[in-house]
This record gives sequence, structure tokens and C-alpha cells, in this order.
Amino acid sequence: MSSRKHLRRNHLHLGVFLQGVGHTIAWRHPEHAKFTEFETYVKFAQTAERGLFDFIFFGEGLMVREHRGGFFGPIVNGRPDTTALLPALAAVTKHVGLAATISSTYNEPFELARQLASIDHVSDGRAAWNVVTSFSNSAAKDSGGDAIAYNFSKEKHLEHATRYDRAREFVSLIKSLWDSWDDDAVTNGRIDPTKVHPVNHQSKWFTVKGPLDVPRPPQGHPAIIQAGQSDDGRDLAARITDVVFSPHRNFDDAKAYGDDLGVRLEKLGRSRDEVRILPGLAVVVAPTEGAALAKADFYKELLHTPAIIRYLLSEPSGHDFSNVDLDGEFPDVDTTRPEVNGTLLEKWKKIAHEGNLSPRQLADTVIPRWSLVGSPTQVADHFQHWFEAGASDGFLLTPTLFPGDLEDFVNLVVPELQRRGLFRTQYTGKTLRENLGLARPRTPERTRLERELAH
Amino acid sequence: LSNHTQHLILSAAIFGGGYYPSTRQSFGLEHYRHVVQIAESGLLDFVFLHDERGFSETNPVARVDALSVLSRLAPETKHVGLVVSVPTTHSEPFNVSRELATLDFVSGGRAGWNATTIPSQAEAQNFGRKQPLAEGERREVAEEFVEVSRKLWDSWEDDAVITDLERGFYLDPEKLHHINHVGRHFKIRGPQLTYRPPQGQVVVVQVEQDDKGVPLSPAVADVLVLRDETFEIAKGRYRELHLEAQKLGRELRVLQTVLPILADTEADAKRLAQEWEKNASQTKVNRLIGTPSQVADTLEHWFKEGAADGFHFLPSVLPEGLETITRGLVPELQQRGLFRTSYAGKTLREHLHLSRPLSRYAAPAKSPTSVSLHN
Repeated sequence: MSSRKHLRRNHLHLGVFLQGVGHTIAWRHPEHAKFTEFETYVKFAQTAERGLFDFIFFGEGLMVREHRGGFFGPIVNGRPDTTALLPALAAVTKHVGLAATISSTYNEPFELARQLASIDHVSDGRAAWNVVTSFSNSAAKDSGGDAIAYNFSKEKHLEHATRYDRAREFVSLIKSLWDSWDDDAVTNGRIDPTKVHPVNHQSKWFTVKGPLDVPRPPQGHPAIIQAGQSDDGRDLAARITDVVFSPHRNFDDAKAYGDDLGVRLEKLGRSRDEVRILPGLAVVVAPTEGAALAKADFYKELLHTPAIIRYLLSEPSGHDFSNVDLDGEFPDVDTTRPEVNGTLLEKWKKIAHEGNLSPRQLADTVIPRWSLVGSPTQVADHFQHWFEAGASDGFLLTPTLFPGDLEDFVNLVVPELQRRGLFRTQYTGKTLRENLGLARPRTPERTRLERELAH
Repeated sequence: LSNHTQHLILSAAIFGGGYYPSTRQSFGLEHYRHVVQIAESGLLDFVFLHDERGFSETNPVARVDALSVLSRLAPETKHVGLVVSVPTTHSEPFNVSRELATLDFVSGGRAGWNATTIPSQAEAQNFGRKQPLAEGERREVAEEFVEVSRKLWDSWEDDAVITDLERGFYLDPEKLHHINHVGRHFKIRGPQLTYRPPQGQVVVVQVEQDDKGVPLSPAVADVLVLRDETFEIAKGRYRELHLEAQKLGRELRVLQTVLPILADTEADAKRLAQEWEKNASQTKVNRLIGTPSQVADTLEHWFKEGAADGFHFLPSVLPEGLETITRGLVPELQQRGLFRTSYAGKTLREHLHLSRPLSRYAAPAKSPTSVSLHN
């Protein structure tokens, strides 16, 4: 692969994810901010902006997960709706991008196109959309995909391939709606109706006449984020995304993923330069390595209550660990039952057997939470290595503790990255696309006119 | 019939350029910020931002999603209620109720919702339909939509998040509830994804329009914004609606829509009205033309004689028309002791003297020793 020097980007990009729903420990830390207060979200956005982050990022899950037939007390649940939260956060920030995770499976394209265009308008071009198809990795009946469908007057969640089929069309239609107003359709407060065009979309999934009733967003298109890992997901990412949120913790995997995406992009006539790949990363940093390790140990201590270990083992596997002796032998569970994730349980049994691990020890092994623990120099070394070797274009941080972990990163790591010339020292762009170094998409009309002029 | 509030309730419509807009479009954030700040400086109970879903070639209008605009302005304001229209015909209650709960969250309890339906072909064709649904059908969907939303707002009890470090419980599992709603149009399990809104339930403000697809029953609304042309009709409806609310065991506020055209002299006001009317093509509305004192006389009469709990202003031209209301009419009403001189409450419900509803799923209060969590 080409070395970093050949790319037009000279610094890395950073996003930060506010951990909330599903979080097992943050709320138990004495210094963690309250998720139920708007001020927490304000502080999150402002801290990220102080650290010159490209964007902040929120998740979505369309049901309250249940566990063993009831709601589960020991983990965080509940969060504000992102489409309604981001405009308010635009009011308390000036530069940082604002990314919402929103399902393509449970929304109407016209409605979502106007919401995202509007967030882009009221933030002067800082909106981003993380496209998800609403996936549930839970094997439990009350938390599986169908439980999402029950919140939308439906009986069945769409199958994986069908969801991606819908998502491809959903995103492409939304982009057409954003393009239905020429950039100069409104001048001096007057609309030129000849510059507003219907989309007349008609297909298997949607029939939408258009045009949108909101002028073209300042960014042309709000930035599109996607985290696809399956073959369908990678294909979707290559087609639609500006930013990829990848889960890779291993350098070789991350590099291979970037290369694979590059090939897929080129097949579609796009270039690897048009996409930013940001692996998710939980950084625990302190002035010294020792202090960082001590902090990570404390987090682990907070995590490992019996109730949470049992939950973390039961939830993805579908097997009920509630009466299992956590310090005894790993149980010889029947992995062929329909309600369990047999592949996962087989894997766990093998690891436990080979390492002679108790359920508690297995949990320690298979549920890694903190992928980078160290001093500011060590963290910066890691960032520099991945960035310069082309394994990533930056990182999406998933701090364990808020505000502590984000503040530590901003105070300790950002200056070190700046010192090495790896990160901006001030915002240079006005919009999120500009800060990400991504071009503003042109309307089809504009492209046509320019082609005519060139001939 | 005595009034249901001590003071007048006053609100203003803030869409676009006002009732007699100039040819210039006013959809930008700067415009709305300016207008909302004027409303708050005039101590109004709430502003109302109309919204639709569709572009009409014959009457081209540029919009920004109203909920995004009001959420954007929430941190820049402190007191004024933020009422938004969100259509119910093509949306999912599970999504819309969560967005409204969040507007309430970011505004510290100032959100209101006009659950609309409109007979718009442009809207229908943006959502996979050839024609708008029939009036009755749209009204029925809207009614059920509001009912489901109220259930979803109740599905987290107020004190569901307990952060009990000793027992390791972030939330009390007994205080989250499936709503298990099964109706003609929606089947929704719940609970909602977000905490209970600060107001318990977002205030439902139903605004009358020509089309009868908008439910105007006290069973649906907390506030009804009507537009009756005469005092007699207004008084009759006011009495009926409050009786109906009483029977349903619901609180209700009834506002009448007025378009004040104000000037220092009656003659100037009349001249202004004539000038504007020349170019006006909109439907009939109750215009009040005169000096602030003359217009205040009419409002006082309607209020004291039991024809309205307050008034919803359609400003003539925005922002100037709203300024003539807040700077001319409001002080006149304050002098007469009819309107607040400072905000007393924090939430929209408090401004309107509407009580904060308990969650329908909350168990009757128990003594602290028998809280189920500790069993």
C-alpha cells in the first residue's frame, strides 16, 4: 500500500463516542456524570471541541434490552433521541461535528432526509449520520431483533440481507432528496422553483415523489458513517460512506480491512482517499504508565460484580449463567439448543477448557474493555504507528468514564499528538466535511452543467 | 363559568414571515432566534412553530424541520414554551414520542406538541401514497398516535433511574413498563428508550384548522387553540369543551386565535389593515384592529366573560408584528393585572397551570420500608 506521504492528509482524525446504554460500569464510578442530565451532554460536546475532535458520536438501539424475562438493573439504559439532541448541542458548540446513529430499517426516507438536512442547517454544516440497519446480537427472545419490530407495529425483524437491501436504497434515496434543491435555489430569501426538482423515486421499497421541502444542506450531504463488517456491510460502506467506524483492535486486521475497502471502493469508481477509516478504541491514559494501569485495574474491579459477569456471559450466548458458580469449572453447556448462540458457546468452552478457566476468568479473557492503556507517549506512539503505516486514518474513542477519560485524553494525549505534527492545533474548516478533508458532493444538476461547459 | 387560570395565556405563531409575509422567505435560524427571543422578552407562554411534509410548486416554501429549530433554540432561551407541529399520518409513534421527550429534556420541560394531519397530496406522495387519507381516518390515526405517545412517556416512572451503588442497580427494573398497546393502527410494546420527560408528559396543543382531520377533543389535547369569529360562538364552545374535559377528568386550556393589527392611533391601525388586506389571500381570521388599549379591551372582555383562557397571536408580519404585541399590547395587559410581569414557573406546564401527570404505571405510593426493590 502507498505510504502516508502520498495521501493528501497530514493529520489524523478523531471522533468520540459517548458510552451510555449497555454500559456496565461507568455509572458506578464515583466521578461519572449523570446520563439523565442535559448538562452531561453539553459537557461532553464542549470537552470534545476543546480537544479539537472532528466529531462526537451517539448510538441508538431501538428497544430496552431485557434479561431473563425482565428489565435488568445493573447496566445503563435510556438515552435521549439523537435527532432531537444534536440541534441543542449545536447551540453550545461551534466546530465539532455532530453524528447520530439512525436506523434505515425503522424510518421513512423523506422524514429522515429532512431531519438530517435540518440538523446540518442549524449546525452550519456539522451533521453526520451513522447508518445502521438495527442489529441485535442477543440470542434472547426478549432482546432479539423481533423485539425491535414489536415497537413498530410489526411481528418480525427483517433478515440481514433484506435489511441491507433496504439500506442501500434508503441511503441513495435520501441523497437524492438532499440533491433535489440546487445549491442556489434560495438567494436573498427568494426561492427559484425551477431549481427545485422532484425525485420521482419508485421501487421495491419506496415510492417518494419529492422534492424535499428543506433547502440543500450546507455540506451538500451530511457526512455518512457506517460500521459494516459483514460482506454486505463492507459493500454498503464502499458505496455510501465518508467515514467507517471499524472494530479492529489488531493492527494486521485493521490494515487488511483498509486494503479490502480500498479494493471495493475502486471497483465502484471511488478512491480510498474519499473515506476515513476510524477504528473504535477505548483509551485509558494517565501521566505515567503505572497510573494508567492502576486506573484500568480499578475499572475492572468496578466491572466484575457477579451480576454483571453473569449478564455479560448470558446476554450474547443465550445461555443462562445466573446459577453458575463463577469460580468453579466452566459448565459443560449443551450448545445445540435453538435458543443459544452455539458457535459462541463452543468457542468459549474451548478457551475455558484449554486454559482451565473459571467462568469469571473466561469473562476476563473474552470481554476485553480497554484496548489501549498507557502514558501519553505510549498512546501517541500507538496512534502514530497505526496512522503512518496506513492501518487507520484516526480513531473513534470510546471512553469508559465520562468526563474523566475524555478530559485526560484531551489534556494529555492531544498536546502530544500536536507536538508530533499528527493532529490539528486549531479547526481549519467550517463544516465537518472540511475538517475531515472530504469534498462537498455536487448536485447532479451542477455536474451536468459543468460537463456541458467543458465540451 | 369562571376562568381556569388567573392570568391570560398568551402564545404566538412564528412560522415564516407572519400572516402577511413579504415575498422573501424567512426560514433561517437567525430569523427564528430573533422571533423566539422577542416572544420570551414579552413573557409569552409559548411559541408555536408550524411544520408540514411536502413542497408545493404553486406555493413554494423553504422549511427547516421545526423540531430541529426549537431544539436548537432551547439552550438559548430559558422560559418560553416551545410548541412544535409534528404530523402523525406517516410517522412512527415510537420515534416521534422519543423526539418530543428529548425536546422536553433539552429545554428543561418546555416542550409542546401539535399532533397534526393535513390533506396534502404533496405530503402523501412523499410517503408512498397517491392521495391523502380521508379526514376521518387521519383523525383516528392522530388520536391513537397521541394516546400511544402518552403511554410511552409514562413507561419509565419518574424515579426509574436510582443509581443504587450498594446493590449495584442503575435502574429499578420494576419502574420500567411494557405498554403493550394494541389498537387499530398501532401495536407497540415499549417501553420508551428514554427517561420520562421532565414534564411527565409533553403538553399536547391542538390547533384548529379548516380540515377536520385534527383531533380537537379534550381527550387528546391539554390546550386547544380555536379560531372562532364571534364572542358568542367562542363562549359557547368554551363552555362545552370545559364541560367535556370535566367529564373526562382532564384539565384543559382553551385559547382563541387573534390577529392584532396595532398602531398608536385607531386610524393608523385601520390604514395598515387595509394595506395588508389588499394582497392577502388567506382564510378568515379574527382581526383585532386598533390601539393596544382598544385591543386589550376586547381580550379582557373575552377572558373575563368566559370565552377564552387566553389568546394565540398570529403576528401580522414577522418579526415586527410580534414586537408590536410584546412592546405595546403586553404592557397594557400587565397594567390591567391580566398578564404575568415575570415568569413564575420553569416548565410549560407550570406556565399554563397544568398539573404534572403521574405515570399511569406507577404503583400507589407505599411506605418507604416496603419498596419492592428491597424485598
